[in-house]
Parts: sequence; C-alpha cells; structure tokens
Amino acid sequence: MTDYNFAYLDEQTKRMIRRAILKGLAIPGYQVPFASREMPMPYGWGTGGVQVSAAVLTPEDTFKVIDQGADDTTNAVSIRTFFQRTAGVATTTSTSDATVIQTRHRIPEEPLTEGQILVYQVPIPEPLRFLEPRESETRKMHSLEEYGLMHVKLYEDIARHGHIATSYAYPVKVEGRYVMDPSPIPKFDNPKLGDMAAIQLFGAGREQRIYALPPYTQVISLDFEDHPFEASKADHPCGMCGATKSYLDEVIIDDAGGRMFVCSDTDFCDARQAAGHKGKDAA
Amino acid sequence: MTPLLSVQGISKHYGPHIGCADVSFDLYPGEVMGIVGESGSGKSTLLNCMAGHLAPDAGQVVFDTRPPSSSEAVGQYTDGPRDTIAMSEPERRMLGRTDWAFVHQHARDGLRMGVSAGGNVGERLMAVGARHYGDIRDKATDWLDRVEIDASRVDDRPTTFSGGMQQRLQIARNLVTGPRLVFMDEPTGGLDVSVQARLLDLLRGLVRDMGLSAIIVTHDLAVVRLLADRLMVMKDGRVVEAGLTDQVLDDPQHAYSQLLVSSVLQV
Amino acid sequence: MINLSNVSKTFTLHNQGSAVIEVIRDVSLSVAPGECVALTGVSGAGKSTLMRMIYGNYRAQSGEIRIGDLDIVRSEPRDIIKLRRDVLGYVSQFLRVVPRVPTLDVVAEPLRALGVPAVEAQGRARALLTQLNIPERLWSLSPTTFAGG
Repeated sequence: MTDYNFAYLDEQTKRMIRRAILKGLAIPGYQVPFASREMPMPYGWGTGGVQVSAAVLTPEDTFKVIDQGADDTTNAVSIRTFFQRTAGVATTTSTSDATVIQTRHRIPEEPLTEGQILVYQVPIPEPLRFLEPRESETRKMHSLEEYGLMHVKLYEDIARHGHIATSYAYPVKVEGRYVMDPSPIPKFDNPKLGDMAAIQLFGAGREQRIYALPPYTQVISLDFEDHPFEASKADHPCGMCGATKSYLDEVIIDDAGGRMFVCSDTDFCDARQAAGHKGKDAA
Repeated sequence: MTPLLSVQGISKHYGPHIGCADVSFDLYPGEVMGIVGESGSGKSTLLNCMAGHLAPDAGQVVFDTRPPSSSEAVGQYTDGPRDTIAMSEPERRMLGRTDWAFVHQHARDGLRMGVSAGGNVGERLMAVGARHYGDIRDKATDWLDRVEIDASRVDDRPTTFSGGMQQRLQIARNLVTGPRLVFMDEPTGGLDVSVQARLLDLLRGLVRDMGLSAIIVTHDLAVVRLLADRLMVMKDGRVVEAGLTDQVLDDPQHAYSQLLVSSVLQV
Repeated sequence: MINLSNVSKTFTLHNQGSAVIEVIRDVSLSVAPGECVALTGVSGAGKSTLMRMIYGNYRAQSGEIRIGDLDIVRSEPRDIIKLRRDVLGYVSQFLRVVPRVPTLDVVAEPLRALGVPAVEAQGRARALLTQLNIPERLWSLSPTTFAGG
C-alpha cells in the first residue's frame, strides 16, 4: 500500500511535530503544545504516541510496540502493523533489537542504550490537572515554578492512606525545574526515568502536548522528608522465568481464584526462559 | 513611622462608569480599616485593586515589604516600601502567599473543596517550601484549634463543613504563614447571626494576637463597629467620609454617612 | 493635662432639611494631673457631648482639645487610637460587647490589646473585678446578663 506518505503523516506535519520535539528536548519536562492531527484511531488509543513515532521514524529504523509490557495485545499489534504498512519499517518484539519503541504505560526491563528512542503514550499530560482544573492556572504554576499544590496531593495521600498511595503516574521533578507526569507507568518504573541513555519522548494526542527527556537527565520522584519515595517491589518472583527484579502482572488462571505472577514485559520474560531460567509455574 | 500600606490615587473605570476614583489612605501596622458603602459604591473594586486582583487605571499601592524568611525565592525580592502594582507577577503572587491574605465572602472561593482541611491549611506552607509531612500536619492541626474547628476534622473535606466552619477554615488557611496584612471581603456575609458573632469575635482575637493589619469591606455596620479602628464610607466610587470608626458612626458629618447610619434597624 | 480652648460643636442634619443644631459654644476647660472634675447640668446641656469630644468620639467644629501634647481635633486617627490605648479610659452606661465573651475576658481585653500575655492580663482582671465587688461566679458569664450598676 503506497498511497500513504512515509509513516502516514505528511511532511509538513512531521516538521511541525519535530519542532515541538526539539523544544521539548531543549526544556526537559516542559509541555509543548502541538497541533495534534486526526489519526485513524480514536482519541484515547495512543494517537499522541503514534504521531511522535511517525515523526521520528526513518526507513532504517526497527520498530517495537508494547502495551502494558506486552507485544501481543490487540493494540500493540495494531500499531505495529500500522507502521509496517505505512512506513515499511522492520518490526521486532526484542527490546535490544529495536531502535524506536512505542510504549503504553511501561518501561522495558532491559536497560535501553544510546541511539534508542522510547515513545510514551500519554493520556493526561498535566500532573496538576486533578487538583487544579483551570488550564490558565496550571500554565502559570509551571511558568512560575509554583508547585506547592503537587505536595498537597501527596499530603492528601498520606492523610488518607498512611503513605503516598499514588502507584502509577507518580509525579517527578525534572532537572530541578519542571514537575512532570511520566505517563501512567507504575512507580516501580520511575527510577528508570532518570539518567537513561536513550531519548524519551512523550506524546498526548487528545490533549495536544509533547514533552521530552534527553539522555542522562536528572529525574527525581516527589516525596516528603519523612515519607521518602520507594519504588514498589513485588513479593514474588516471576512464575514463568523466576526473575526477582521485574514488574509483575497478576494473572487469574482458573475459576477457583488461582493466580500466577508473571513478568509484565513479555520480551524480557521470553528471553530469560529461552536462556534456561524457569519459574515455579513454568510448564 | 512607615505606613504598612500606602494607597495613593487608586482609580478604576469600567468604560464611562466609575468603579472607584482617586482613593488614597495610609494604613499602619496593627490597624484595622473598614470600608463601608452600599452595592455599587466601589468598595469591592477598591479592595480588588489593592489586593492585586484587578489592575487599576491609575495609582499606587505601596507595601512595606520585608525579605521572605522561607527557603523559597530569596535574593530577588528587596525590602522596604514597594509599589505592588508595579511588581512582577511572580513577586505579587509570592506576596499573596506569604505576607498578604485574602478572605473571600464565600468560603468556596478561598478553599479547595476537594482537599482535606489539613491539606487546605498546609498548602501555603508547602507552597513556600515545607517538606516534612509531620510538621505540616502538626501546624495545620494547631491552626484548626485556633479557629475553633475540632482537630478530629483535619482529614475531612470542607464540603462536610457548615458555612461558619468553612469560613473559619478559610481564615486558618490564610493566616498559617503569618501574614501582616489581611484583606477581607464581606467576611460574615451569608452567615447566620449567631455564627457571625462567633466569627467576629474570633477575628478580633486573631487580629490582636497576631498584630495583624486588615482592610475589611462590608455593608454591615455592626461588623465595622466591632472590628475596625478606622472607617471609610464610599458612595458612587468615592470616599465621602473617613475617620475613627466610632466617630464616623456616632457623629457622621457627610449627608450620605448620616443616611447610612440612621438607616440601620435597631433591634 | 487636658486643655480645651474655645471649643464649639454643631450637628448638621443633612437628611432633615439641613437643620443645624448648636450644642457646644466656645467652651474652655483645663484639667490638671490628678484632678477629678465633675460636669453637671440639666439633661441636654451638653455634658455627654463634651465628654465624647474629649474622647474623640465626636468631632469639634472649632477650637482645640489638647490631651498632653496632642490636639485631637487635628490629629491622625492612629494617634487617637494610641491615646485611647495608653492614656484615656471611657466608662459608659451603655456597654457594647459581643454576647458570648465572658466578663473576665472583656475586662482583660485592653491589656491584651497592649500585648500583655493572656495569663497576666486575666490575673489583673481578676484583681480589679474583686476590688469592684463583682462576685467570682459571674466572671465566666457575659456582662450582658448584668444589672446596670
């Protein structure tokens, strides 16, 4: 099918998005408004991520898509196929073989390298949105670095639950300046954001914002002096590959409530099993 | 002695209509100034111009600033008398979080209804850099006590509070950073009479204990009788009379002041 | 200590046909420290009016009212406020208070306004109330419940 321009978007649109990306990289954590286009999927299905991927892909790239860590969910497969058809790029499920990785709500377990780009799908880019509904106010807060309200949210968590209960989309401070929403990744993944060797790009299609973290950026999760940030850790190893340090999904396996804990990152788990590691539930 | 606030020639027009015209006065530390007048007198316009919510067409509002004691934003703010109209927005907003306070007529306008009472009171502390949860909570609880809200309500949302409690919470939220100047817009408006009395007494105590200066806009003469040392009467955007509260209320000189005072129903 | 020179006062009732009522004409009076002066006269003679003028509650239309060095006819409101806090006391038969404040706190109030700590001010208040023969059981009640005396 060659009726589409390379990667679906026209060149002018890609140029516009690239300008936004460059601005985002120049000001880490700052939300750059961009003219989000109509895409062949509805809002809420990753249009922001798709537009960013489309703008950065070159014919030589190898593309991977994960959805909550898995390459084989419907949406991951759809988006991967979409770029196969409109860009003709090579695709893969292997993290280390990919040059551009689009992700919904997870960071791969395998550490990324220089030369790779991680593209996040973002629903609500504004970390203060649920506390301050006015866009005019939140813009002022970011530009004047007035982030007291962010700590109010964390205070509320501790007051209500005894600890900071935010378990995903945990707000971070970038390079000591902008407070950013890292997209709904589990807070387990937050430590990976800082000092990453790869470029990280964040796209919100419905909200029309792009932001970015250039390689080796300082990213600190917000907390209180007497309630410091702790990345959560599962109590179990992976049932399939025995990994003790990866983020796990809980899978219900029968109608009696039987459950199993499996690595959410399918590529990581498959690679470990292929290397001979076996968990207690492995067949 | 330097006035804490020096208002000079404040004017605000809405097209051909006068909001307020050429208002000037000085306020000294520890003084409470009442501004009374009927609807359309310009008192709210004047208050909003002074507090930085509205940009006046002319005039200055000179505040005797002091360097911020908090960890945040030192270095860029000099001290001494400075025209707040001419200040940059970050500076004015900083002033609004530290040395100034604004009590709205409707508590809902001055509170975050979706945040607990403790969070509401602690917000200003967190906004100026407080980062220890335990300390913030202790201070918030202490303040709830000072405004006569039971400490057990610290985690409740203001939506569960009565009108009077909401207003007292708003006051706590404003005073927690120890401001020197409080602007109040009809602080007892919409409250039951008995609730008003309690609130006024509380305000009196706090003003005295904290050495606050305050500017209170109201149409209720009983409020100014109780709270204000000095009084300004406004009509059609202009100040028609000013002086000691008891003197203006007991011996009004201007025709409009006399009308206002004589119109109050005696019960 | 207190010196009135050629003090006059008129009330102008703008809303009642601009009626002009002269209540005090050309009064001069001198009170030395430690003196106790009684103003007597028939009802309507102007006794209360004069007292209120000395307190700054009523305005003088002409003349001088000097308390110490301060001419209150021409002084700033804040100077009069200071004078009232430090120098002048006023006892009226009409006591205006907020209904819920107990007597002890009403009496302690002026000291609190000067910055005296609560415990000390209340101690002073207790001493005064005892001296003036107001029974202790009434100290926690509002003075609005009291008889005139």
